[in-house]
Amino acid sequence: MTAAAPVAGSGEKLHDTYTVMTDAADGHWERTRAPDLGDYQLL
Amino acid sequence: MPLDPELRAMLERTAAAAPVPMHELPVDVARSGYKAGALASLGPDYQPVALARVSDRVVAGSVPVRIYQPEAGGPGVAGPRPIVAFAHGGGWVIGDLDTHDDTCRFLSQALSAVVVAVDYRRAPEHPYPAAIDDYWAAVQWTAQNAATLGADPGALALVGDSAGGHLAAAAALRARAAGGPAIAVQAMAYPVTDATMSTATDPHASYVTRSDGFGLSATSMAWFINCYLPQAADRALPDNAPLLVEDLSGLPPAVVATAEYDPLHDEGARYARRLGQAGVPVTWLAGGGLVHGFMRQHRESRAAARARQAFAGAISAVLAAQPAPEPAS
Repeated sequence: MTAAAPVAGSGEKLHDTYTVMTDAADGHWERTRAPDLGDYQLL
Repeated sequence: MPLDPELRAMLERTAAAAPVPMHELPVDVARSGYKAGALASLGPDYQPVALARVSDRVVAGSVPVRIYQPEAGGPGVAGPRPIVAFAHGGGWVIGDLDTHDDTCRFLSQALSAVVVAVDYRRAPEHPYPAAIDDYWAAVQWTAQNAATLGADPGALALVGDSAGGHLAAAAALRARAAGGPAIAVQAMAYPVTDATMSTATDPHASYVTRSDGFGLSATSMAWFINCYLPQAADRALPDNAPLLVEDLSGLPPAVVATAEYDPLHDEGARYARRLGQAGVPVTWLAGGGLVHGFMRQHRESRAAARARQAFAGAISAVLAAQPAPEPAS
């Protein structure tokens, strides 16, 4: 089992196998640190 | 982030060409309009991706499929290929093999994979569980026949977009419950994960904030659900609301892609998050500035094209991380 990290503002735990990727708009997508993105932060 | 300007222009063209909402049309008219729109979005100079072979057949007794065989070689292919059981979108109602032919050709080429696209029975003529039963039967057939198709049974991917993403998620749950077949990756683009539409009760949720004006509307989504799931009691079943399944542990690694301007954004993002909380390896592709359907908007938006490529890249990365198959003795 992998380590779990707290998610900002939620108290939830996410494992380090949870990866968020976003469009860098320069032709490729790249990883973003998961705890920096809440479910609704994009909205 | 702002709506991608190329997608904004696409939405304006679409609204002008098809001013009547889908849910106000007879089903056959909605289907023909959806197909015409899918083909028109590819443009007059569209040339399908050339593959070694594309053939239609019936499998598992009664399920029509279209099988895409990639050209020999391809990126990173040294042995048996991955194999994809693909479920098309279209709200379980209006999509078909032709509306997603380009998507399947793309996936076959990008993943160097055999793709088995499933022509499951559609609602409202065939309500739940027809679609998931057909897809599940085809998934089992695909696993059993992967080697015959020149593919690696250990590299089986369940892939779908929108309602097809919902079927992929549901089939992964069925495989877990049944103890097989082994699924290497489940990959869902802007999926339905909760047919109860429970997120719609949150005034800040995408079902409310993105309810209309970005292609798929919340009203059309409710119509699709009514067509496929006329019995309200069925909507909370694991087949239809994976998001509400209490224990998601032990599911296959997942790729979940969402679009920011989509009523389904939040249930896709929440499903990715819940899978991650359960210890399932997850790649969430957070599609800022995109709208529902970006897998089929690559000819109209460079951002959509990048997202489609990223979706395939994330699936490839999961497949590449799988343990190598035992050599044949």
